[in-house]
Amino acid sequence: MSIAKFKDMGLDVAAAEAMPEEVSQFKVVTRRFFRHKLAVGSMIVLGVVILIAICAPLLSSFSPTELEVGSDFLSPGSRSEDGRLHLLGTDALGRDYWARIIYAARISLTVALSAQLIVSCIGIIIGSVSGYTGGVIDIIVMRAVEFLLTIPALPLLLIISSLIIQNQDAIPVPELIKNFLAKLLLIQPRDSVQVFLLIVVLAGLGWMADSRLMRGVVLSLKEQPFVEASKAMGASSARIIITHLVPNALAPMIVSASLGLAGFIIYEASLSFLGFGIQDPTPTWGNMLSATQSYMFQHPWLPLVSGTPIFLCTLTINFIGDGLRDALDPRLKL
Amino acid sequence: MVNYLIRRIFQMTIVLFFSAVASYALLNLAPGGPLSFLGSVQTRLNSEDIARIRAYFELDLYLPYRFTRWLAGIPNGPLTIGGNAYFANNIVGCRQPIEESFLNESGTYVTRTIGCKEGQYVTMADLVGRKTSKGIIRGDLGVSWQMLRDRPVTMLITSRLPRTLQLMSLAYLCSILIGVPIGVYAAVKQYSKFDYVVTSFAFFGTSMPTFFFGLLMILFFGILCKNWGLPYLPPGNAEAIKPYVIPLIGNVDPGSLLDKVLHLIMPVSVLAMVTIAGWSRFIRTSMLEVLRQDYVRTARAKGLVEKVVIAKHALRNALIPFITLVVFTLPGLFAGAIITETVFNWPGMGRLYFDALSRTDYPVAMALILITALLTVIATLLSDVLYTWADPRIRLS
Amino acid sequence: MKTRKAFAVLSVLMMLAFVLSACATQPVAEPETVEVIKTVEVEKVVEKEVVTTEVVEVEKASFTTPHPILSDVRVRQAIAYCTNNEELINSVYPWYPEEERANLIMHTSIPRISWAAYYGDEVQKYDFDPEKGAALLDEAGWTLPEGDTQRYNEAGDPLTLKFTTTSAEFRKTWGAVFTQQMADCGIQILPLYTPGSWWFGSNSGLRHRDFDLGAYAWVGETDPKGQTLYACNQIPLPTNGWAGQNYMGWCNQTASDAINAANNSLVRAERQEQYKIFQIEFAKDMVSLPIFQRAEGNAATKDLINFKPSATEYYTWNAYEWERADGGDTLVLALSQEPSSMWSIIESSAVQRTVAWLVFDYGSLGAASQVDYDFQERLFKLSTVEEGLTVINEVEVKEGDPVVDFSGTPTDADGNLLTLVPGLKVKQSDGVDVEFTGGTVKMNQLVVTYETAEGLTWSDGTPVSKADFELAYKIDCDPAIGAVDYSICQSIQSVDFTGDTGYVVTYKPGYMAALSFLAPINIYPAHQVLSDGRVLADVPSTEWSSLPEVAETPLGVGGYVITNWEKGVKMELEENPYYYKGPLKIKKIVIVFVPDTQQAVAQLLTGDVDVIGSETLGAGPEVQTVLDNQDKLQVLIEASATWEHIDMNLFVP
Repeated sequence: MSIAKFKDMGLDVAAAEAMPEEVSQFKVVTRRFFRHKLAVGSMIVLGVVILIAICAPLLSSFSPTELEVGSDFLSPGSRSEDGRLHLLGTDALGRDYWARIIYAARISLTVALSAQLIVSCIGIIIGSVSGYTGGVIDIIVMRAVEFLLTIPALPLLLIISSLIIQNQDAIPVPELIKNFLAKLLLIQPRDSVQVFLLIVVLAGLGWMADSRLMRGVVLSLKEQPFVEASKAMGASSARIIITHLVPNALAPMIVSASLGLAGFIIYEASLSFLGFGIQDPTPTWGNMLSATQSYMFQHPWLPLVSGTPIFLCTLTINFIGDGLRDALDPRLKL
Repeated sequence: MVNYLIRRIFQMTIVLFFSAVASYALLNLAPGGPLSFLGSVQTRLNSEDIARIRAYFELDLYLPYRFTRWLAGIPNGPLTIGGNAYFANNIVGCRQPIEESFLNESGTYVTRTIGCKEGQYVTMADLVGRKTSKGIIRGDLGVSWQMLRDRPVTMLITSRLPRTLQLMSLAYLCSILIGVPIGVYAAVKQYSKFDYVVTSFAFFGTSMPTFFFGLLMILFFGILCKNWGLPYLPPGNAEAIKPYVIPLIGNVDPGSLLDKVLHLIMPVSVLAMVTIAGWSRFIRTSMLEVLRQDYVRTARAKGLVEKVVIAKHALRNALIPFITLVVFTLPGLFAGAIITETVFNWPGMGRLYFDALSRTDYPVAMALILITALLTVIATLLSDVLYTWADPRIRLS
Repeated sequence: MKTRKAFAVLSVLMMLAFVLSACATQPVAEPETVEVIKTVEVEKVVEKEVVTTEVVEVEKASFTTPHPILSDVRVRQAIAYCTNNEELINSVYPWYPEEERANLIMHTSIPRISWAAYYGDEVQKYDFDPEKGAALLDEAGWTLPEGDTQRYNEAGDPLTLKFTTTSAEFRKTWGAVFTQQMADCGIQILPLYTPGSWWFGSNSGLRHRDFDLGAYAWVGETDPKGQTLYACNQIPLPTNGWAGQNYMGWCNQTASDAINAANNSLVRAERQEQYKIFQIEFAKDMVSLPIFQRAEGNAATKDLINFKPSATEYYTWNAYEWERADGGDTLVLALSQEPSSMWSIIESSAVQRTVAWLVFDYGSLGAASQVDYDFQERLFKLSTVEEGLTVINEVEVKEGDPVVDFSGTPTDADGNLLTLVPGLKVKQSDGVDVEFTGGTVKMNQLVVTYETAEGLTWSDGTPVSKADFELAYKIDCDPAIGAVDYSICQSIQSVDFTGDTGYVVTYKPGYMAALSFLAPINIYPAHQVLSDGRVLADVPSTEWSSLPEVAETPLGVGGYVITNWEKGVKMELEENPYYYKGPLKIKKIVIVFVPDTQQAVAQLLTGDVDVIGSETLGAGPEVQTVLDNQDKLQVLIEASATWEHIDMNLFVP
């Protein structure tokens, strides 16, 4: 069985030495990916969701914050006082559900995707370095992770949120990021500071589990023959981590990321409850979802309205992840 | 191995100590605090009244002393050696601090304590005769401030713990018994209809919040089924208060086994549903990884029956990373599930912790945090040890 | 080995950091070293204190800087005119009967049903009128540029205000509507929904007046009170340790004098007159905009007869009249929280009071019931002047005699008991406030006789006796028990325990508190023998709060006795055979703790629970659910004593 690994190795070395090879390998992967029908389908669905998010202002005549007291919980398809159509009905304040969902898509997707990206990167770097090098670094990193896991989240978040509430105008956020987020999400620059901080806090709280996961995978990979062989051939640690460990550990990381994405969308809502993050009336999928809780007995289907896009996004991202992994795996014939 | 364990336990103690320091500091520095209620009391309070209330919550002592008193019950008076009292005049706190408000860089006012009113210092000698716990490391969790005022924290924990253990262990057991086979089967039949259904279900489970499933079940199996005259499930509590009749089943007495089982069904299903969703996904992935490994192919090539390949070669290896996940339910067994317990009114630890935090009952919250932290570090150690046991290629150093 | 060293270094570093960080905020906390250094440290701090008094003086000036926008009364009135209260009510209480919604609107700080409310023509009303609001804003210099939606002043600053409140769902709801209403008037609102722990925290948010517009609720009481909320000397400042609840920083001398006078008089007509003056000023200055009285719902099974909840009393106040139409003798109540103790002096939550009515036959201290914003006699008679139980004596007071000051406070700011000294402002017997200069001054002194209802007997069969009053006076006025407020104890000059049915209290000269007709001293079962053999009267006060006989299964004179308390789950109560209003129709009451409203409603609908009071049901969408089931339930909806309002901060920061 070790022979197969050596072959695999050889291919990688060759790829690194000859650029044209690499390009063709990329082509191979793309071709393999496009054979995966479900992944392609998912990509289209996700693309549509993103497109809807981008074109939100064109797709609804309502503004997401436009309210009409008295026309609460109109059923889908009913019309507002001036005759416009509520595609998905209205919420407790008579705000148009469809408009809120599509505007929320911008914020929720941006927040969740960037937070998850940061978390995965941190996880991969810390996990692989600590797992591969071992020794003092491993002990310190892992004990630090352990320490952070024991810190209760709620009081910590309360402190962070009170610091942010008190100093939110004094926190230096690069103008570039601020204005970019404001334009992207169609919100005030002042609120975009909060979005930025929210992403940072979410990432700061979420990276521990992923780095533990990565470390575990790396620990078992580094004892495998192909790594030992690579070491014997004189490859540097950095090279081994980048070319062998990271690609081989991608599968569990993708799964964890696609599961984590939904978590971040919902988590964001609980943070806005603590006073930072995105506050009502600005809609996010998360805060729309949690706002439905007290109406469950009268309108039990309400959570589905804002829950469906979350479900759709995580499911499709997962299928795309599946397709990617299959395409990347040379042992699999597609 | 013994060396490794000793070293790890030593490290664990240090991590735990830092965790205790950090959690204690966090709780005490977080906004709110036990004095918040004074804002809603529509009576006049003079500074002496406030000083007395601060003293009840030990807020008249400086944070490090409060911490050591909570941790080890010291200092509880001057150090007495051979009849001589030392450090009797050592200042450990202040009854009436002087506060100053100043403008910070961002243009808002921040209040800071800058000193102590004359004659209001608390010295070591003043600590004699004060109520104090023996310290959490000597097994005394102290007394509750708000939830069961002035009565032991252990009373609160012992009243909730059995119920939480019951709920959580059942839920985890169901999750393993259902989640593992589902995950394995989905991996073996990758890209089959079954696989798609399971995947969709799993993502639905993680996308929708717990309260959605909980309240939906209460509405349907509790309220509506009862209204329709069908057999229904009690909407909440761990036991009934008075006897009730369920169509087709008959009379149920409070406290009977049937009563307890009926009350368990909904919370356990909700908890298990959410856990199964994540776990089956996890098992499926690691199973897929393993199934692609060369030794599985070799085993197949040797002509072994597929069932044997899966059960003997693949499953064992696929379960290795899963062990880590399962071991980390250990703190969860103790800490409970806040939302599920609240939705189903299950008198457990999750609700206790949440109430303790929201009602600023710090002795209770700290005891729970510390015990959970202890279980977390134990779980970490356990998962590392189990890893090596299951995968001989990993060496502990 | 290496790792161990690294850890040792790291832990020392962390320890240092911890100690240092503690030092930063609290200058004298430091590791135990040599004693000599310590004394030096202390001196340093004292020195520092002297320096900082100057700093504090400077800070005082900072809080006298008027708010750039809200200090203008026209802006405040414009905000009031631009607020459509009815729409706000509609947004949070869509289930509230439409024709009664107007009753939830308040024009002053006192709900319309109270005897002290004055809503006459002199009180300026701010009915929804955006045009009037716009005119006022124009007049104040905040103009609307052509084609713009927001107002600016001459300097080009936008009219933008922070709106701070909690993240409670219903506040977010009416907050969103309010934001829109203000936007329609050209005022931009920046909503800030903060955690309650920050907004109501003891050193953040409201207490430190960190807001422009701040929304929260006051729990209205039976007596309108108001002294700590609106008097000039109740403005929280950094200099006074943020004491007081006048968070707006509002000082209107006329209003302040009126509210002080209204709280220190025994004659209702006189109090009404003073409250009227106060309310006129309150409405005119518009420093605190009343939004609405909250609504609240109580629900019970149709079988329960005589279920009479009231906005100002806990619904168990008339449990002795309760009866089941189906002939049953057991009733299950749901409470949103577990009482932390049954000892009423240290636990004052609504849930404790709800149970206290059953066990002790009183809710609040004072032992009278408070239905519909007024007092009714219960355990004790109402010792009013009209009943002849209160006597006002004119006495001559000389320097050094114990007195209370003009506002009825028995202590100075440091908590020392007041005696008559030159410079102290006191109320003369003719009602005029004077500063004492020497000699003697004529003041009023109250002598009040308090009498119990007839036939009070403890649930073990022992009749209430003189020793029970004596024990209550001894314990309740002991600072060691951990109660919050001792001002009544400190206002008492002497008590004469005359017999088994009452006592006579002589208050300090000058004490004219409006509520002095309520019994200040209760009863404790002095004869009760504890499980360890001691008698309750002999137990030191410091031990009381942890005694099971006090905190969990107390003896009472009320209709029910707690027989079992399963922590975190339920309480079981059984009829007290010696109850003075007995015998009772409902023999057994079980109280279950259900924090989640939806769960409580579900249990009510399935019949597991018979009653949900307003403290559990609240006023959320769940009320609609119970209203939809009126075939099985009786649902009583009323205006709560709690009222939402927006405080406007008159000073920066």
